Amino acid sequence: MIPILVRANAKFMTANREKIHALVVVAAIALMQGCTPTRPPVDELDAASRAFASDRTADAATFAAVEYRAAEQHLDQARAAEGRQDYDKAAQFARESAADSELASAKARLGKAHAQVDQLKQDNASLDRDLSEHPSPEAQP
Amino acid sequence: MRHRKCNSLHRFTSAALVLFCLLGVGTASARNEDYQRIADQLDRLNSDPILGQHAPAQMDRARAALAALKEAGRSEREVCIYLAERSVEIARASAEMEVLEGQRDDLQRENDRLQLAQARRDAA
Repeated sequence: MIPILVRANAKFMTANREKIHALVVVAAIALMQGCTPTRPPVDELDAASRAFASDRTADAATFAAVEYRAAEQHLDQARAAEGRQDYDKAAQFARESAADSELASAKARLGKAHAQVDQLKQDNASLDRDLSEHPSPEAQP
Repeated sequence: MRHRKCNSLHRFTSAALVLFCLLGVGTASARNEDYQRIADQLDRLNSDPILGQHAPAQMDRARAALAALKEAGRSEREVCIYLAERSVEIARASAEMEVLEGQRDDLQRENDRLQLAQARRDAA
């Protein structure tokens, strides 16, 4: 009776051990798959670089300093992550940088438009004052 | 002895399950809070009597970013929150820009009219 039980147990254990081994192999493959670098996020990094370059031409550093710095930091982080082959993080930082840059450009345009509006208001007030103080002879009674 | 072991194992498993459920509920609630906060910001922008009429493309992009946040898995969540927040800010800045452009055009027309009046006066 005991040898039968031992044999049955041994069989059972072998089967279990095989299952465990199979599970370990599957887990290892899954882990390797997870750790294996995907391809470098070239498109995302290019888009982020282009967006940041357009920030520079839009004077975003002056009109949207916080967003401009965030774009720069995220782009640096994206490049660093690419350097250590952490491509998922690189893609994530690149997307964040592109969003920062877009906001920085929008705020820079807004800042410039505010400045133009303020200037026009001043100019118009000055012209209006001048026309009131020195009216046209035709307009005088 | 075995029964006691089974009991303690059962208790441990139950406690772990409860803990996992609570953690799950907490995470889901935090996710909903983030989503709701950004959705509220976008709603406020959309219902603004002036800004809500402008930048339709950027508003659509903000809505799409919000939808992506709703569908995002755990690994994508942080970046989706960031992008959704940024897209709402971009939509607001774009709408303000359009309003300001209209104002600038009006002021420029007024400026042209005043300059013409000044030139006529000086010529007279």
